[in-house]
Amino acid sequence: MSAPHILESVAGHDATADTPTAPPSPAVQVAVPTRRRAPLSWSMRIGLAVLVFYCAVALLSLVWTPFDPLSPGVGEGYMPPSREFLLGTDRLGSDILSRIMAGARYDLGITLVAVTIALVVGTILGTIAGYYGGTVDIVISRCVEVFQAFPGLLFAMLVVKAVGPGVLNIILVMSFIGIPDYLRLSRAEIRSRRNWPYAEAARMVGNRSWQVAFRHLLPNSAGPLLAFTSINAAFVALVTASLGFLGLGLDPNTPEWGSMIARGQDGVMTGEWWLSFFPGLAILGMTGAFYLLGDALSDLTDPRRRR
Amino acid sequence: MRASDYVVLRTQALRKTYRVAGGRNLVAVDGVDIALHAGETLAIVGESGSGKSTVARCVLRLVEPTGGDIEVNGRSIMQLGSVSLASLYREVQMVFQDPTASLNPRMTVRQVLHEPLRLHLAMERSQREKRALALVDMVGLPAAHLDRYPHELSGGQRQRVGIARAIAAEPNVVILDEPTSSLDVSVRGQILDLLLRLQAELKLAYLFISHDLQVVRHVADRVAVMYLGGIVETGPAEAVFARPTHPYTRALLSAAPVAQWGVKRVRLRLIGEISSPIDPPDACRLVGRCPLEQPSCSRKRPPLLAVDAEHSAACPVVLGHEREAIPGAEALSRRSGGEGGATGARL
Repeated sequence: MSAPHILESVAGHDATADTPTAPPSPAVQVAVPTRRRAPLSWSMRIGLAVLVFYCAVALLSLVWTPFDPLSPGVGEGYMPPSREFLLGTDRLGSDILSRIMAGARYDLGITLVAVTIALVVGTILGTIAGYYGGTVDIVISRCVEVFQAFPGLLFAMLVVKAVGPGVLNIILVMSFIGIPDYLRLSRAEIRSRRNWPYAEAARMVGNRSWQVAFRHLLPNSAGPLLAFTSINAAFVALVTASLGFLGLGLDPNTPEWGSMIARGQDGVMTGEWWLSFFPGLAILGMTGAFYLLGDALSDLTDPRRRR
Repeated sequence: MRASDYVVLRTQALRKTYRVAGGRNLVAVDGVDIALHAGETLAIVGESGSGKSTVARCVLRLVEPTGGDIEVNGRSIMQLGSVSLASLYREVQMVFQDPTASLNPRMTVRQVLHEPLRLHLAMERSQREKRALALVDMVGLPAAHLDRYPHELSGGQRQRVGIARAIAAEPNVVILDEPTSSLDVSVRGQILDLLLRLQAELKLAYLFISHDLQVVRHVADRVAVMYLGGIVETGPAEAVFARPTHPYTRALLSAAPVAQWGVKRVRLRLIGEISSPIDPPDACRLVGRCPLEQPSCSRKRPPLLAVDAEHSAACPVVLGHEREAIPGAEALSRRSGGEGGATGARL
């Protein structure tokens, strides 16, 4: 093969790799990438598996638990883990396994709903602020910064104290705490992309400005946003449990993990470790799974990182 | 070599300034008049900072002009609101400099090409599919590439997609913003040939922004040379390349290498660097850099003066409108010696 020939086939590959005029040399075939999805990473699999397990337990607890989680005296008080009571019983003789299963409804449910609300509201506001800038941006950003002046848990405690207990109130407070973070993140993401040529090109093919912002720019920010969502979920789960631990937000008898830890904390000193240990393990497992998932999501949502 | 006398794009006294620190103005574009005729290629040439890209972006209202007027197909576009801009983009499209940055990384070629067809032409899905196939064929991509993402394409292929997107809604003006400068040299020629072929087939008018004189010589019918926000010379490409008149054009052309034996080039060198575009005085922008400078150059910014019928340049000194014609070489060397400039000036 003479030198001009080689040049020709390389040049031909660029334009018309599949036409018969371009000789299909092995180099050309290697250079053509094929679309394939990467196998899921291990952190992704573990995180997802654990969260699916938690969801399954939460759903199962609606129809079946070993004992009634709310009724005291199904066994003796302070019974250690045994065949009958796998995770032991608490001071009032309630079955801890049943209470943990029922608690998944509260902790997981509150977390998922609160995070979803914060994600949707924060991202919409952040995208608007980031894309349009100017006065809109200033108004939105300043309003939200007011809420950021308080530390999350303190703000939640104050509000719950003020508006009273209840699952709905906790959900609203937790999503309120999250909104500024989602707003700042999506605003920064959109701002960094709004003057990219592909945003201008999108405008030029006939998209309205909101379509450019929400259909072209926002999907490209999905990776960082979803990763943050998952990590934020871990935080929300912790704060929810903290509120329960502090005796705020829900009825003290509610089988919520944080309040279960609080109820069992005296036992830690006197040897009844299982009262607080197992609810703590449940919290740890859930937050850990959210972290793992968040880490893996950032890789998966970026098409350039698919191999 | 004009395809038609119908003007598809005209700017009049186009001006764009930016406020900078201290309440001063950076003048990016200063009184630019261009007229692009149907089916022709007008190249705007200049170095970075000359304002050539700003002109292109003003025409698309990606940058809001500070003053002047822009007409597309006889209609002023200065007052178009955000919604009616869509109607402008049916007539004027753009091919971007960086094909990678101008394609949404999450959209396949098919999605990219369907968008203008759906939004501008309101086509049905089956029509769009047919048209998208025709488009990739026109730009020389195999149909299988419709399902690829930008990162699965080479630089040249990406630029082909960018070109297909630009011509999808059948505009009659396409702005080419250095369409080949980020491509490999081996691919450049193919993309230029493609652009020329499409122009002939679709009767497109090109506003070609470039700093690459070889490329401009290859594709342009007419050339406008920009320096510091203003056009210093304009005319048919052959005339400008054969008889560069303005000292800046001559310096620009003599700085480009010529691959030809035995051609002894007369070089004209400018002194120093490009001057500041912030609050420039009403004088020739080349004052302080020009080896042909006369006292009168600092008094008023010279207008474009006719060299011949179609060719004009903004230099009264060279064109003999001033007291002296082109001075001899001796005079020049004396001048540069007297100024003690960093770079000598020879003619």
